[in-house]
Order: sequence, then C-alpha cells, then structure tokens
Amino acid sequence: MSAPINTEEPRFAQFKLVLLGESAVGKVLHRFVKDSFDDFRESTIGAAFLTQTILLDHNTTVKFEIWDTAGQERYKSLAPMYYRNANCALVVFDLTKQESLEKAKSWIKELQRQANSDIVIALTGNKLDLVQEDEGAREVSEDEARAYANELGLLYFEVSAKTGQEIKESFKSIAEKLPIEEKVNPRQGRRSRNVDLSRPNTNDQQACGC
Amino acid sequence: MQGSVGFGGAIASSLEGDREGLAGSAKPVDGAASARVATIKNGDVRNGDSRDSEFSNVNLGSVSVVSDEPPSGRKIGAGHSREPSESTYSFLDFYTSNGSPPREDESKREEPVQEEPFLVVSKRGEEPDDARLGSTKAIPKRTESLMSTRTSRNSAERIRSNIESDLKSSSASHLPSVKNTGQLKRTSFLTSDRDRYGFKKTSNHISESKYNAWWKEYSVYVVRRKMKWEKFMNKSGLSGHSSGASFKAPSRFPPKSDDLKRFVRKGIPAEWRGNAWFYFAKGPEKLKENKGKYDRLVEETLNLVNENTEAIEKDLHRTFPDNIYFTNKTSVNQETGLVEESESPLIQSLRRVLYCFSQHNPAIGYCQSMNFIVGLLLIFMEEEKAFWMLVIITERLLPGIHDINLEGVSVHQGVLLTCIKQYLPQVWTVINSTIKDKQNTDILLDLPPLSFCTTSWFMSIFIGVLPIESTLRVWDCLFYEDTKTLFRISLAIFKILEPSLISAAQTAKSRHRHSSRSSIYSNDSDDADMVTAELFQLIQNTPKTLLDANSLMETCFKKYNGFGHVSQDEINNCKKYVANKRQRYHEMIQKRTSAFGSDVDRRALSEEERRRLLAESMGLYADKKVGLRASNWNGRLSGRVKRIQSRLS
Repeated sequence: MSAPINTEEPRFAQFKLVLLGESAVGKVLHRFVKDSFDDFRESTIGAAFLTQTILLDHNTTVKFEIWDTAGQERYKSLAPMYYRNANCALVVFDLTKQESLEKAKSWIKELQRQANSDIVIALTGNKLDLVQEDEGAREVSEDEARAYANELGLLYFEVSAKTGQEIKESFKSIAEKLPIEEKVNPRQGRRSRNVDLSRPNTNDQQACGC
Repeated sequence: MQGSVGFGGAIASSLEGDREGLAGSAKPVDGAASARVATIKNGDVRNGDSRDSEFSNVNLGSVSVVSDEPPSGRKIGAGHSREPSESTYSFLDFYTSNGSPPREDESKREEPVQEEPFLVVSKRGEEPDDARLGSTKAIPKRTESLMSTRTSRNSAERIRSNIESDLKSSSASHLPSVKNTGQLKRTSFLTSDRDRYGFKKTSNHISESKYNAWWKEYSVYVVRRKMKWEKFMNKSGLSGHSSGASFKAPSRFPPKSDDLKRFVRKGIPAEWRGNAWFYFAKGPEKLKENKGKYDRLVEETLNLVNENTEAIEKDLHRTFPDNIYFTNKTSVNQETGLVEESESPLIQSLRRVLYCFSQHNPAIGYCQSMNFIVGLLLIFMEEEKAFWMLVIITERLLPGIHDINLEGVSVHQGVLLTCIKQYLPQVWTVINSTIKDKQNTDILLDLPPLSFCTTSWFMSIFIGVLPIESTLRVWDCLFYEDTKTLFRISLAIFKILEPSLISAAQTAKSRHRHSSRSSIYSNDSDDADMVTAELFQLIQNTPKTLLDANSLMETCFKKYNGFGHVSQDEINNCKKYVANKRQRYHEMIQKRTSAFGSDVDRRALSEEERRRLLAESMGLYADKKVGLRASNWNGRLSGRVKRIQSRLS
C-alpha cells in the first residue's frame, strides 16, 4: 500500500502514546508538553489528553497523541479503553522507589498481553534530578532496570520531569523506533502541513523544536 | 470549642519540642506552634511533593491580593457564633502573605485553655504517652492523638465558617441597600484572583476578563436568587430569624414540590449549599441512624497504615492545589531559619474523612476522585457531614463507580452512550464513526476510547470537568433530583458540543478523502484514530469553558429540545440492562478462561474467539429492546399530542 517515498518530501506521521505508571510518580507528560513543572499538580481523574508535535529530522514531523490517566491500581480495569490501538507506551517509575519499578513491571506485562503486539514500550525512570543530587536516594540501580528492559526488548530512559532533563531525547528515541514509513503518507504529509497551520490548535502548546 | 486552639497549641508545641530536641526551650503553651507539627508529622509522607516548598510560598503570595474586604468585615460575619479574635486568627492564618504566625493573637489564645469542651478527650490527651507519641527521635510515619484531631477538626470548622461568612458577604455586598460600599467591594472582588470558594478564577480555558465579565452579571443574579429564596422560605414557614442580611442558613427545607425544584435548578445560595445538599440527600436520617459512628471511626483510624491510607496520603496534596483553603502555609522559623510548613486544617479533615471511609467501606476503600468529592464537600459542610455524604454518594447515588474494579464506571458509560444514541442521533453518528469493525463490536462491552474521556464526569461528579460554579449547580440538582441529573447534564454538554463535533468529524473525513484516494480501506483505522483524537480534545476541553452555569442549565432543562424528560426509571432500566449484559460477557470470558486452566489469560483469547463470545452475548438480549426504548420516545410524543389537544379544546 505504501507509495514510494521521496525523502525530500515532507513526511508526517501521527502516533498514539499512552502514559502509565504509579500515581504521583510525576508523569512526564506535562513537562514535555507544557515545558513547565507544577509541584502541586492535581491528580488526574479519568483521562487527560494532549498532543505534541516534534520535528524528527528536517522533513519528518511526528505528532504524538498523549493519553494520560490516573495511576491507581483499580484504574487498570479501564485501561483497555485507553491503550487500545496505542503505538507506544511510556511506563514511568520512580528511581527513588523500588516498589514503583514493580508496579511498572506489572503494567508492562499487561501491555504485552493486551495491547497491540507491535507496541513500542519505553521504561522510564523519573526523578533523575534527585538521584543526581544524592546518589544515596537511588533505590533502583540503572543496571538492574536496564537489564530488565533489554531482556524484554524495551527502551530504557532515566529522566527528570522536574528539570526536563532527557525528556525530549527520550521522545525522540521513541519516535525513531516507530514505524514511520508505514504510517507516512506523502500526500497527507504535505497537506497536513497546510491544514495544521490553519486549524486552531485545541491545546495551547508549541512544538518543542528539537 | 473556643479553648481548643490554645490547648492544641500546647500539645503541639510539646510534640514539636520533642521532635526537635528542644523540649527544654519550648514553652508548654505556645499557640503559634499549633500548626507546625502537622507538617513535621506529614512532611515525610509527602515524599517528592515536599521537595519545593517555595512553590507554595509563591501560591500564598498571590493569595494576599484576595482580601477583597477589610478583615473587620469578616470578623463580624464570622463572629456570629464564635469569639471574634479566633475568627480573625484563622482568617489571618489563611490570608497573610508572608505566612508568619499572627503573634499578637498568642496571648488571647493562651487563656481559654481550661475551657476545652471535650473534657473526656482532653483528659486522654493530657496523658503524657498519648500526647508524646512522637517523642522518639525517628519521626514516625503518622502519629495522631485524638486530641490533635479535635483541635484540627475545630480549626477546620472555623475555616469553614469563615468561608460561609465570606459567601454570605459576597452576596450581601451587592444588596441594593448598601449600593455604595457594595460597588466598592465588587470592584475589589473583580481585582482579586480568587473566586468566592477560594479557587483560582482563571484557567487555561478561562481568561480573567471573561471571568469578570461573567461574574459581573452572575453576582447580580446570585443576589436576586438569594432574596427570592428567602421569600420562598418565609412563605413555607421555614423563615428562621430573617432579619435583613443575617438570614441564618436554614437546616430544613420545604417538602419537594415543583416550585422548590425550580428554585434548586436556578441555584441554591452558596452559603446554604452545605445544609441544603445534606438535607436533600437525606443526610440527617443517616446521621441519626449512626450517631457517634464517625467519631469511633476517627479513633479507629488514627494511626492506620495500609494500602488505602498510602494512596490517600499521595493524593491529599494533589487535591485542589490551587485553592487557598487547601494550600499549606509556609513560614520561616525565626530561630532556625528553616522553612516550615503547616498543613491546612481542611487537608487534615480530608485525610480523616477518607481514612474513615476506607475503614467504613473496605469494598471501596479509597478511589482516586473521592478526594475531590470530599474536598468540595468540605468547603460547604463540616467533616462528619461530608463523611456521610460520601457514604450516600457511593451507596445510593453512584453505586459501583468507585468499586475496586470500577465496573460501575463502565456501566455508566454504556448508559450514557445509549442515551446519546437515543437523544442525540447526530452526535451518535460522529461517535459511531470512530468505532472500528462495527459489526463485531458491541459498544456496551467494548467501550470506545471516547468513553474514556467522560469517565471523570461521573467519577468526580464534574469536578474539574466544568468550571466550579457550573459544577456546584449540577450538584444542587443531583442531591435534589437524583442521578438522572448527571445524564441530563451530560446530554446537555454533548448538545452544546454537537456542532463542533460534527464539523471536526467532517473536516477529518474530507482531509482523509483528499489524502488517500488509493487506500481507502487500508487506512480506515488510521482515519478513525485521527478523528478520535480530535473529538477527544473537544470533549475534554469544551466543558472547561462552560462558565455560564445558567446557560448550561437552560440547555439541560428547557422545555423543547431539553433533557428534563429523561426519567430516573429510564436511566435505572438502562443501567440494569447494561450491567446485566456486561456481567454475562464477563462470566463467559471467565468460564472460558477457567476451562483452559488458570494460567491462560485473556490474551490467549483469540480475536476470533472474542468475537464469537461477543456475538453470543449480543444475542442474549437481541429480543429485548435496550432500556431507552422507542416506546419511551413514542410515549413522549403522544403526551405532547395530548397536551396540544387539551390546549386546543
């Protein structure tokens, strides 16, 4: 089905990304999208939805639809509604809490069972800033988490939602792993550039320009 | 009640002294310290969130603008049942910008120590072991004595009565008789960044000018409605002592009637809401049946630590973080130079209510979103009542919604979808276009991703979904008219959304048609995803702009094309139908799973098999029409014809 792709033609692809992780882990979403960090962010009830566009290279634009939900265990039963058709998942845990990694592992298991078989999963350790300040605060060793991720074929990142460290990079790595070629439609890419400009953006964020 | 602050201070400071190793230097009675302990106590629980206390400093800084009237005004308002100095204290407590303890008040608050009304409790509290639970150097996770609980319940109560008197004066200030000063106050209210409930006026979706423009109109409406309510109450013989502006919040209301319903739909006066909600939801009966139960629960859960309480602790400080009453106060200790944070009494109330509920109803325990429900209740009523309201909400109004498997959420979503299908066919067409593989999908069993967006409408009863004033108006109706309200309002919101949903879907479709002539079929599912994403944003963001509560209510209840006709029976039938159907489906999956051994999970259910199960369970009810039957529709039509005929004759 995919038409031959002329690399000089602008490419545009849209992916659905779901955020999962223990509650209050400080999900990366708001940092990434709004470029701001609120210490006292309200907890999410039900669902939150945002979009973010990144420029992968000079002619490839990737738009993430980011879906976020409450982190409490029981919300898992709503999850199928949520991660159905997701292309990628960011499973967040807290580097300073061993138990949060266990929770993350159970999410990963769930995703591998229930979600698209080609879903790209990124295991993401948050609160890197705390760990860098004081290595003693770290409860999850990078080696351990990375080994687990490698074993299951997941991406692995350590980020700080607070300082924004490594966040853009990790989204970029995810984008690189996604099957852009399959999704891209050159005609659509050209068109959507025009359309995107003229259409009102429903949420107030600007491209992060990385 | 009056003495409690001083006494609590004593306990608190002795606790503090122990913790900091300053036992010698800390004076036994130091009222100013009363609040500090809370933070020290909870600082460790809050983990990551407490990393940056300067953020709350910033918050408090902006709060100082709030004082839309001189403190003396509040003093009078709040002093109707309490000693003025105390009201002033808690007023200061929450409005001072630098957060330094109001030192002048200390002497006043020291004196009434002996007047502690909770005599039995205070005796327990005086026992050294009880008061010094925290005497070990290692700070315990949470230690609380009944005494400190009393103290904080009292201070929460004072805050609440301040809110109430603020609400009273916020409308009283617009009374025509005090036109001049009223005008003044109104302008100053317009310059403050908080609404009368302590929430931030503006959001990403509502600008300050938009808010102020609306409030200018609405505040006049509020005053008018209040006067009409007072007249109505007088006529019903429930006048209380109505002397001008000091009409006390009534605790009883007239029996249900069309008139009263109309009044409720037009909004209950803000300062009466606590009483009205409690009364309409049949709270007094519940309270009577369970006398003393809440106090027992508080005692039982004092130092409870389990999965629920851990989840609660994580959420306490994420509940209305932008509301001043839920913001912790920070201050710099003059001696140590350290920033200290004292926990808001309302947060402490919130903790107790949620702890008690998790104990009272272990089947639910704690579910995220209950924190917001209780938080909002606490602005309007004392914590014992808030507790029983939560019981009523979870038992009677929203059964199953907060259960451990959240099945009730899915059932309600199914009912909402059915309602949309029945009453908003055009919206239904749009939603239906996002469903892939329609033939093999039963939306009641496999809820579409769009339903995910509307889960919070029920889980938090529109908190955070609609602007606060609109939310409160929905709550007014909910407690008076039962849960059909939630579906009526949901339908009204979708009605408002209708044009934008239709045009968004059309735009997406035409874009798709242009872009992929060659691959209509293969790209179909991608297209559905794109549409979903756009619709989701509309459904998520538009309600947040619905500041004009009156127009939302009008859309909901207007005679023609409104949703006032959606009856409770209809909703109940539909709920039963959806619940049964889903249960059958789950049972079939269960049966199949157990037939293949316990380690075969749902993944092992092949797509083909899932479809067969779906088809089977769809067939189960094929002969039975969905809860919202066509006959309802016809019934209404014939009713209308009858009405017209009677009018003609």
